[in-house]
Amino acid sequence: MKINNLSLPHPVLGLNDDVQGDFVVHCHVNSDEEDITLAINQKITNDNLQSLIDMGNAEFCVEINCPQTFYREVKTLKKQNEEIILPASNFYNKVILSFYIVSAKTLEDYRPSGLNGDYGSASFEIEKADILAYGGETFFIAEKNDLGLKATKSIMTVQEDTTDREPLKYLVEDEKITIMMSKQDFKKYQDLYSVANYSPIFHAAIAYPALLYALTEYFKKSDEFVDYKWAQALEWKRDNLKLNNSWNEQHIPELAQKILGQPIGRGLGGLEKINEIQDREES
Amino acid sequence: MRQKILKESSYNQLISQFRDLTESQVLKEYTKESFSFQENALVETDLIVENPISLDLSNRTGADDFQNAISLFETFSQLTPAEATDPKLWTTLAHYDCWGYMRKRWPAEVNSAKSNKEYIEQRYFIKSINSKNLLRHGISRLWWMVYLTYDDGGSNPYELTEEVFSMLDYTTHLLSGVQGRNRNFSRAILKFVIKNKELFEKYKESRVRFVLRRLNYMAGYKVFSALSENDITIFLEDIKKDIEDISD
Repeated sequence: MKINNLSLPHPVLGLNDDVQGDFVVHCHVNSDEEDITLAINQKITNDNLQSLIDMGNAEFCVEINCPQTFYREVKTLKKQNEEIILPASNFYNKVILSFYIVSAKTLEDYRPSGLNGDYGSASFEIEKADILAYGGETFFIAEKNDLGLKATKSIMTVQEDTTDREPLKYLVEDEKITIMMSKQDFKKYQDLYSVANYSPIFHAAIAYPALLYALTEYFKKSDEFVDYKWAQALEWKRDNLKLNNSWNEQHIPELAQKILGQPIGRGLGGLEKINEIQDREES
Repeated sequence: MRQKILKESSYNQLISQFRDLTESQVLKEYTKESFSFQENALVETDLIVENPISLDLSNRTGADDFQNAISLFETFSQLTPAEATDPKLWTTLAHYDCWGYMRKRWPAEVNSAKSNKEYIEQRYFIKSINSKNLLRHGISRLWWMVYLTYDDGGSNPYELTEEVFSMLDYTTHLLSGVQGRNRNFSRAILKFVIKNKELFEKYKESRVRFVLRRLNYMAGYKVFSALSENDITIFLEDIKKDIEDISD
């Protein structure tokens, strides 16, 4: 639940300056074929809320939300450092984790310590599951094996078009960014792709322009692509490579370079290597 | 036996070919007696099925959806939620194993969509993996509607499933909704409707929509998933009078 822009009917620690103090959560995600492990460290600095937790009147929880597998559940945390193990088979693609402290029962006259002066002398009636503190949100990407086949981490695929000689096309209205090659080009691609020295050149000449196009479309209308695996994988890369500050249409060429690991430089390196080999063979 | 599905390359080829079809070509392809694939287009998976899938073809309007859903769910009892998002599985079933059923239940030539192509794309393919598309596809909807409502805590594990098939609103507003993903939430509502048959005998659609609106409003400031099924039921009991006042 995105609550940053909501005006809630009672003060919440972690939202604007409603309440003094901090609720800080760190979460590390580890996954293998069977399980996904969330290693969570949470800390609160607000006497009143800490006291409510100690008495069992409030509790830490993490809401786990995977839209694509219809999964939405809350796990309650009892300790400052805790691991939660989840079956990997319940998840596919984006899994959103939201951290809260919620009320465990009805609280009459709730008035947290460090309440913003704007609230005056007001106190609040709190019901079970009302949010008392918000520790932020993060997400990870859950991969899965394709029903007995190997999972692929690629967000792009090259396919043969039905035309003989038409120019290359890029399609982004699908789970992967699709590069459609004419029959003639696709045959050449298939024949050459397995040559190791050509791989960086393919990245520079084929994958890089495809990603430029996909990023352009993404920034124009990101809502349209929110469910597609390629868009979610790019957002995960954004967070992993810490590209948030430059995540906009002005920096598309730079973003594409960073996401693909400098394809132009590697492509030029590939050509250099081919040149060296040719020189050696001629001499 | 092991379930076969389209290989990645064959699936991509099918999608590519479908994209290039005109409206009249779509109609021609999707009114054939059978849909043909090239040899070696299918590959065996690890998914074991005891018997081949058998869906009832007698009723075009969906009156047999509930029984067909149970039949499909029990055939694929080992499918995990992650595997059940695989568009290749559902596309293969729609075009190959269950083509006869699809032709009868979701015929290309009879639909109210803007175009035949759009209709076929919604019912025979999964364009993008999200709750709406999984609940719209002709075959995946059957599996998911059972999976999301199966209740092994009661004497009849399909009681909630039968209720969910009784009204379209449940798929469009409850199961595909943000809060509906939480099992306590959807179970509490379905059980409440079943238990209070008289309350929902008249104006059922309007009254169920009212309940969903009230709960979604509360979800704006509560972590609803932190509530138990019983907590939600208590709340529903408290608003019974308000529900009675709803008359379309």
